[in-house]
Amino acid sequence: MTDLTLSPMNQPVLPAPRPYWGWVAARLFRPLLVRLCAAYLAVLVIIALLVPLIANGQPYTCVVPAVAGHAAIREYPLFRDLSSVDLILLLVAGALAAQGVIMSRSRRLSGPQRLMRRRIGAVVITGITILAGSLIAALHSNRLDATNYRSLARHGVITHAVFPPVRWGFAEMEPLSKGLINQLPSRRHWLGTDGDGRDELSRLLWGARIAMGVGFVSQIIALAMGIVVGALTGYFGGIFDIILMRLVEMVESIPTFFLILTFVAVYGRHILDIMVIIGVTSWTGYARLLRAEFFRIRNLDYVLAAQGTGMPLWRVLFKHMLPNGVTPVLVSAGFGLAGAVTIEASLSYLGVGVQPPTASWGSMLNSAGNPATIFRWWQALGPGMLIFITVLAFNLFAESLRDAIDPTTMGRR
Amino acid sequence: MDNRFTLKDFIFTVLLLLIIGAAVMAMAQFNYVNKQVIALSGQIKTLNQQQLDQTQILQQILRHGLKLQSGKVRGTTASQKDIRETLPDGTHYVCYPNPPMLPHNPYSRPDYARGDWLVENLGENPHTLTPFVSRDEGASVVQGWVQESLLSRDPITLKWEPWLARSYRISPNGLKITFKIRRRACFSNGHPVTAQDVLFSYNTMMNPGVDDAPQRVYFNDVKSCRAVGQRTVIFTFKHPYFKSLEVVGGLSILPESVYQFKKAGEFNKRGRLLVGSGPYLFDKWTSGEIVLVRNPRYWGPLPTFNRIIYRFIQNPQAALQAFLAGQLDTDPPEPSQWIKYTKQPGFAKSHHCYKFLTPAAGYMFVCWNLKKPEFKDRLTRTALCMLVDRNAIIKTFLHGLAQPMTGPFNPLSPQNNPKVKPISYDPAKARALLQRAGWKMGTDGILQRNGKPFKFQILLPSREPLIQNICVYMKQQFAKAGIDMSVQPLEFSVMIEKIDNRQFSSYFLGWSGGIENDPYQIWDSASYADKGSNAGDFDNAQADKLISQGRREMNTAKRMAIWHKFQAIVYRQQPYMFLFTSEALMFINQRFHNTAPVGKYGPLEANWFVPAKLQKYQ
Amino acid sequence: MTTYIIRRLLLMIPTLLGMTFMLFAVVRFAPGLTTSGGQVSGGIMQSRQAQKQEQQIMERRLHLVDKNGHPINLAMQYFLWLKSTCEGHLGTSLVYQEPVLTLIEQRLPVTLTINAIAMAVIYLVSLPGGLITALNQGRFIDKGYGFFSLALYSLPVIWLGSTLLGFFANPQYFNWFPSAGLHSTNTGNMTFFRYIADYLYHIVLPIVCSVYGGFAFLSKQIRGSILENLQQDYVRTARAKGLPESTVLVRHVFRNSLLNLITLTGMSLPGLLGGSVIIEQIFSINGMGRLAYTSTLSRDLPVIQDLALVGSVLTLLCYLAVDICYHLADPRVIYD
Repeated sequence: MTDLTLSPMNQPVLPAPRPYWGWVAARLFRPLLVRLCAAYLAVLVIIALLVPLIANGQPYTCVVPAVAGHAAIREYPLFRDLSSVDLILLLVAGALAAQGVIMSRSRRLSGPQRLMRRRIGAVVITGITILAGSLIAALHSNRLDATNYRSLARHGVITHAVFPPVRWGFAEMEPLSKGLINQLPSRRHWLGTDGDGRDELSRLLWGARIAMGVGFVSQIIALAMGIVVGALTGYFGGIFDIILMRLVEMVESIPTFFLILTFVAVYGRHILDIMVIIGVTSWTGYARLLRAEFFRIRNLDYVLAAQGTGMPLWRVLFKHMLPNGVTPVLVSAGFGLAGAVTIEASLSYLGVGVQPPTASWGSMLNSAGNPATIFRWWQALGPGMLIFITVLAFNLFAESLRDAIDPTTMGRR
Repeated sequence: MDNRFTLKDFIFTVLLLLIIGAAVMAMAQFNYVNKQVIALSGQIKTLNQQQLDQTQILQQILRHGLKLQSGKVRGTTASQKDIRETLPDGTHYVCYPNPPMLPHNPYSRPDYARGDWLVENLGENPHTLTPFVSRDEGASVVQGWVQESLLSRDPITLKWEPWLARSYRISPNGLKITFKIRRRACFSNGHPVTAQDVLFSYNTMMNPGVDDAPQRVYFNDVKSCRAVGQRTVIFTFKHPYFKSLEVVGGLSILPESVYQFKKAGEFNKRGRLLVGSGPYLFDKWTSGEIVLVRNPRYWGPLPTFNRIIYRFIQNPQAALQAFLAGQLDTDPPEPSQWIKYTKQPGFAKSHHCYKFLTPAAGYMFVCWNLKKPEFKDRLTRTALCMLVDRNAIIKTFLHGLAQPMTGPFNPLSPQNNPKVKPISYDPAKARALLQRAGWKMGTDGILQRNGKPFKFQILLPSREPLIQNICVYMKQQFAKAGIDMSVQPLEFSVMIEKIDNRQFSSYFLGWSGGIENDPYQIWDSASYADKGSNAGDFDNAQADKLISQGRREMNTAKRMAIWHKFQAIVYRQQPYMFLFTSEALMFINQRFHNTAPVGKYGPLEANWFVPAKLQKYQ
Repeated sequence: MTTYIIRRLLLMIPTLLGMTFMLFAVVRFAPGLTTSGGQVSGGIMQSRQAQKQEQQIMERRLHLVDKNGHPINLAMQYFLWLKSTCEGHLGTSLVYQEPVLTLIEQRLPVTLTINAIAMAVIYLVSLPGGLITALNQGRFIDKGYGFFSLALYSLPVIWLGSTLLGFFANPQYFNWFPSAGLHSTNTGNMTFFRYIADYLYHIVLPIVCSVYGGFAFLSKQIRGSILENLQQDYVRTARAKGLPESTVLVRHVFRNSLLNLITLTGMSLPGLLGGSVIIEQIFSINGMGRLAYTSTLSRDLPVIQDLALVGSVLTLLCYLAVDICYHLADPRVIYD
C-alpha cells in the first residue's frame, strides 16, 4: 500500500503535551468561523442530550383539579415518562456540566494541585455516571402514554400545565381525520407538518440526537479499533504488521457503502446496529494514520528511554507514544464524524436507515423529497440545511485543527 | 532536464486520456446500442424472409386483416354469427368466427389514423422477458403486446371470448375443454398457430427444469393436453375447477419453431427472446428502454402505433415530471399528485385524467399471527380493527382515492358480498371489547393479560412511504389504547422469509387482485403448511368447507352465493385487518383520442389513436 | 523492483483469500430469500403456493446442497465457489437469469462514461484551483476557495440531487433538463453528433451531482503538495541560482507534486467503476450502482458476490499499480 512513512514532513520535536494542547487550542479558536462552528456543534450536542425537555407533547408539570373524593394532584408527566435512553443522556449531560464546573473552579489552583483535583473529579463523575447509567438501563421500564395533554389543557381537564417550548413530540400526529398533513408553517406548527401530520420542528430537533449519536458513537468505535490496530502494527512492525495490514486491506477493498447497505438492509435497522456498522467499516483510515505515526516515533529518544525503564507495554504505547501520534488521527476523526452523519442520512434517505417513527434528518428528507410524490422543497429545506451545516461544521473544524497543528503554517498568521 | 516529462505534459496527457476515454466510451455505448439494433433486426428479417416465402396463407391473412379494418364489424352476416350456447347435454359451446372487436374500437372513428408512438413508463427495468419465467409486472406488460393466448376476456361482460381459438367447448362435467384454433392466426414469423404450438407451450410450462414454478402450480389440476390434427387441442382435468377455462385459455402460446430447446436451462436464459402472434414485435432492449414495433403481418386488425416504447423511470416524481415535459405519454400518478394536478384549472383540460376502481388493484391488509396468544381471540382482533379509522386513512393518506374492504374480495368483483358492513371506527367500544377479552391496564400504561403485556411488532416492506405512514398512525392509535406496537420495516426478501418461517406477530402487505379469486391459497387451513400463503394460520372448519365447495361449483350464480357466505365468515373472524383497495389513476397525453376507460380494466391502449394532425413521432 | 512487485503480489494472495471468504460469509449468512423486485410493487404481492422445488434448484445452484440434497458446510461451499470463480466462471444471476458478466457488460459503459466525464471536470477545476490557492497562500482567494470547496463537499447529494431534479427538470419551475434517462426516445434518426449532444444534455444534472463534492479534496491535495515542495531546499537553491520564478514552479515544484497526483488518480480509478447508488437512484440511471443496490435488496447472491469481488480485486490492483508508478516516477522511493 502507499507508504505513509515517506512523507517528508520534518516535524520539530513537540513540547510537552499539556502546553502543546493549550497552544493548539489557542491557534484553533482564533478565527471567528471556527468559534462559530464550535458553538454550533456545542448547541447541537446540548440539543441532542436534552431534546426531551425541549420538544415534547407532555407538560413538565400540570395539576389535575380536585374531583369528588380526590384532592387536586400535581403531576409531572414529562419527567415520569422519560425513557431510559433519555435518562442516561440527561445523566451524561449532567456529568459533562459537573466536569465543566470542576474545570473552571480548579483554574486558579497551582499546577499539580489542579491536575490532582481534575483527575479525581473526572474519576468520580465517570464512576457515578456509569453506575447510575447501568442502574437505569437495568431497572427503568419505559412507560407508554399517548394522552393528548394539549387538548386536556385546552378543555380544562388539567390546569397549570407548563409545556416545553416546542409542544410536540417527534412521533405525535395531528388527528388523522383533520387531514393536517404536509401543512405549511403556521402558528401551531412553526415549521409545518410532515406527511404523517407530525411537527417538523420537533422532528428536526430530535433528528439532532440521531445525527450526533451516530456520528460520535460510530467514530468512537472506529477510533478504538483503529488505534489498537494502528498502534500494534506501528509499534511492532514485522509479522504483526503484515498480518494486520492484510486485515486492513481486506476491509478497505470491499466497497464501503455497499457493505454498509448489505449489512443494514439485511441484518438490522436498529439505530445501534447502524452505529456499529458505520464504526466497523470506517476504522481502517485511522489505523493507517496511526501506524505511520508510530513508525516515525518509535525510534525517537523518549520512547526508547521509556522502554528502557521497563515500563509495561501499554503504558509505553498509550501513555507516551499515543499523545504524540494521535493528532492526525483526531483531524481525520473530525472528517469521519462528518462522513458518518452523511452516511446515516443517506441510508435513511434510501429507506434503509432508522426505524420509523424515529426522527432522522435523512428520513425526513426522504419523506419530503424524492420517492414521495410531490416536490415539497420547503419540507426538505430544514433537514437538508441541517445536514449541510452540521457536516460543514465538522469539516471546517477538522480542517482548522489540521492547520492548527500543522507546523508548516507556524509563524504565519 | 529539458526533455523530461514535465507537469504540463502530464496534465495534458491525463486530460487528453480522460477526454478520449469519455469519447470512446460514449461511442462504445452508442455502438453497443446500434449493434444490438442491427443484430436484432437482422435476425428478425432473416427469420421473416425464410418463412414468408414458404407460407401461402400469409397473403390470405393479410387480406382478411385489411378487410376487417375497413369497417367490417363482427356478426354482420348471418353465416358468421357468434355462438354462445349451452347444448341440451350440458356442454357449453362458444364460437366466434371472427376475433372479437374491442368495445369502442377506434377503427370506425372519422379521425382515426395509424402512426405515432406510445411512450410509457415501466418503472423498474424488468429482469427477464422470457415467457413463463419472468415474474415482474413490467415483463408481463411487454409480453402482452407480443404474445397472445387462446382466449381473451371481454372487459365489460368479463366473459371469456375465443381469440387465437375460434371456438371452445366445455364438457358437461367441466373436465374436458376442446379448443379449435383460428385458421388465419399466425405468428410474426409467418408460421400458422397450430395445435402443436399449444402443446409445446403447455409442455414448456410443465417442464420441471423451466424456472416457472409460481405459474406452474395453476396447472396442477390439468391431467393432459392432446393435439388432434392441426387445429384441435383438448385439455382434460383431474377435478372440476371453476378456474379451468381461465388457466388453459390464458396460457401464452409460443411458436415452437422459435422457442424449441433441448435442455430446459436454455429456455430460462433466453431473456431477450420474445416472439409471438401479437400485434407488436419485440425490437430492442437497452439500458434505458424497451422498444416494440408494429407487426406488419399481424393476423388481426392492424395495430395503430408504429412503436411502443417502455422507459424505466423508477422515481415517481421524475416520472411525473417527464410526463409533464412530454417525454412520457402516460403516467399513473400517486394520489397526492392526482389531487394537486387535477385541481389546477388548465391541467385537466390539457390532459386526459382518469380515475377508476378496478378489481385488478388488490387490497392492503394487516395479518395477525393467530398462533400468538395476544391475537388468539376474535374480540381482541375486532377491537384492534375498531381502533383504526380506515375512512380517515383513505381520506388523508390516499386523498379519498380508495375504498374500504370488507373481506378478501374486491368490491367490484361479483364475489363480493355487499351485505357485509365494514366495522366502524369506535375507540370507546374497542376499549370495552379489550376489557371483555381479559386485558387490564398495567402500571406502565400497557394492557396486560395473564401477566403478559400487549406488545408486538409489525413487519412492513421498507421503502413504501404509504405503508409506513399508515403503520406510524396505527402505532399511535394503539398506544392510546395501551397497546405497544413497534414498527419494523424490512426488505421484502427478508420479510418474506420471516413470514414463510412464521417468525412474526403481524405484518402489513397487500394481495394482488383479480376478477374472481380462488380463496384456497390464502384462507384454507391446508395452506398453512409448507410455507403456504395462509401465514397467519386462519383455521375455520366452516370456511374450509365453503372453499372446497366453491372451487368445485361450475355454476356461476351458485358459486357466488358460496363466496358471499365465505366472506361473511372471514370478516366476522377478522384474521386480517382488511384496509382498502386503491383507485387506479391515469394521466394521458392530450394527443391520444378514444382513451376513455372500457369496462373494469380502465383505459385500453389498444383502443387509442392519434389523429394525423396531432402525430408527434414518425 | 521485481522482487518488490513479486513480494506485493504474493502478499495479495492472503488478502484476496481472506477478503473473498469474508464477502462470502457475509453474503451467505445474511437472511432473506431471493426475490425479484417485481413480485411486490407498492407493497402488493401475489399469493403463492409452496415453492419447494424452486428453492431446491436454487440451493443446488449456489452449492448449498449437493446432488443428493445433503447440505454442504460453509468452508466447502466457499471452496466450490472459489474453484468455479478461478476457472473463470462468474456466477449467473438468480433474478435476471443472465451471467453476471453480461449484466456488467450492459451496465458498465453507462457508469463509466458518466464517471469519466465527471472526473475530467473535477480535474479541470481542481488543478488550476489547487495551483492558484497554493500560490496565493493565506490570501482571500485561498481562504475563499478553500471554504467554498469545503462547503460544496459538505452539501449532501441526497438533498441537492432531489432539489436539482425538482427545480430544473420540472415543468412547474424550470423545464431545462430531462428528469430521467440517458437519451431521448427517438434516437434512431439522430446523427452521431446529435446523439452525443443529446446524451450530454441528459447527463448534465447527474454530472453536476457527481462532480461538486470532488473539488475540495483534490484541490486541497494539490495545494498541499505544491506548498510542501515550495519549502524544500532545492527550490531555495533554484531561486538563489536566479532562475525565473515560472521556471522554478514549472520545472521543479510541479514535477515533484506529480507524485501525489499519481497516487490520487490511481486511488480513484476503482471508484470509476462503481456507480453512485444515490445519484443513479435519483436520476433513474441503470448503472452499476443501481445494479448493486437492487441485487442487494433482492438478495441476488451471485451478483452481489461477483460485483464485490471484481471491485475489490480492481482496488487491490490499482493500489499496486500506484505504488509501482510511484517508483517509476521517483526511483528514490524505497519501500520497507
